[in-house]
Amino acid sequence: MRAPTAILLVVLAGCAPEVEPISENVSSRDLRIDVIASDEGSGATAKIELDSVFGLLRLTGGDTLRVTMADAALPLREAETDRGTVYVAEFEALTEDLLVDLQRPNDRDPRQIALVPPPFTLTAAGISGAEPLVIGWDADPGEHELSLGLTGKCILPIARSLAQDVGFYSIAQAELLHTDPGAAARCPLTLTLTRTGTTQSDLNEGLGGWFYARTVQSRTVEVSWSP
Amino acid sequence: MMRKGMLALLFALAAGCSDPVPEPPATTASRPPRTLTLSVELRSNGGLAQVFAALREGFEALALGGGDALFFAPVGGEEQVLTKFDDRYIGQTMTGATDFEVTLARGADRFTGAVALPPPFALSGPAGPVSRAQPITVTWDNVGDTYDTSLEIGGECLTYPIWRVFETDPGTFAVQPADLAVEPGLVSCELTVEVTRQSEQTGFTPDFAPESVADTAQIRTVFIATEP
Repeated sequence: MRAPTAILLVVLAGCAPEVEPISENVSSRDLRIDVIASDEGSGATAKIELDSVFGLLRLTGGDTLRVTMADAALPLREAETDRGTVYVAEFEALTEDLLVDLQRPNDRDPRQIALVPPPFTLTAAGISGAEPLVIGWDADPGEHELSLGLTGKCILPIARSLAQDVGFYSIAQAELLHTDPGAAARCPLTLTLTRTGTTQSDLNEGLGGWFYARTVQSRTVEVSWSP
Repeated sequence: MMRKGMLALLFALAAGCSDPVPEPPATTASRPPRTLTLSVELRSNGGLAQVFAALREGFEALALGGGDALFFAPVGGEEQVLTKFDDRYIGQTMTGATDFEVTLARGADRFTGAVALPPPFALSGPAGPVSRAQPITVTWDNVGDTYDTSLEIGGECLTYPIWRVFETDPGTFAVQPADLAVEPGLVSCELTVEVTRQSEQTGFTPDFAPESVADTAQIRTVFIATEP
């Protein structure tokens, strides 16, 4: 058998060398940029992935990634995960939309905005007597999803999507279903309110590629429950 | 001879290829009532009572047979025969009564299950139109925690309804503005608030199998016109 034929057979058998997951090997049109950003009230993080058919890409060949919030660049560090390279920023608070800018000397420069729901302060008065749980936060009728979670050792968890972001809500004590007849009548509760923003768009103005961002503002408070 | 043999073979093949004759449905005929599980679903809105009854042996729903008939009546009231609907027998009557009987009549013999509704109650809400920007409170008679109480808020103007189940009967509920998923673009929105008080009774009749069960409910509904 001639050598080229043998090589072809080996390649066809699936023994072709793997393509290194580096950005210079991938066109902007074949790229997906994923942004996951969250703020739980005590510091924020943003994680950016450059995804492709070869897996998560490491920036090479002069490609640079820049993420700015309120015109200030967020310092990014490279991190390795079991899926590949990701870019992470840790900063004080997630307060504005994020501008994600991939600058490439040899290809189109994708530039997208990840919409961020506004931050808020969550308050909840403790439950006593027959009073309901009264909850308050800074209202915002923006384009985000709003959800509420209430947990406690003595109750079945409550998870609700709220259709309107009006800044107030109450839960009657009768809605707190105990886990079993033997559960304590009252227990400390943990209340979490979450705003989730989602941005999805074509990465290169109709020429291919995809941009996806999920941005989360969540706040948690502990709620006392007394007779 | 060969032609007759061939014809006989053809007829035999034709008979074997025809659709199988379905078995007749199982019926109550001649089955002792103590082997029959009576399942009753009874609900009332305070003026109309509806019943759905089924007789089963094991998991198999039975049709009435052998001259058996099912009747339904408020205690001391006029009896009516139940009508077959799918695998159940249904009926309704205009009454505010809370105590009923479901009876299997077999010849001169009668086998009865006594079924009681939870206590009736009145449900009230604000006269509309009310603003959806503030909580909307509905109230009803609280009779303690013997029964399971639940509430549903619906309406054609809502993208999805809201359900709440209560551990104790609160006698009142405040519909939260944040819960109302009003269809975009709508201004007026009529809410339907339905409160259900329900009870499950097992072993409620010595005439039928001990697994017999009655699910009963009092249901009240109010309509509340709302605006932004």
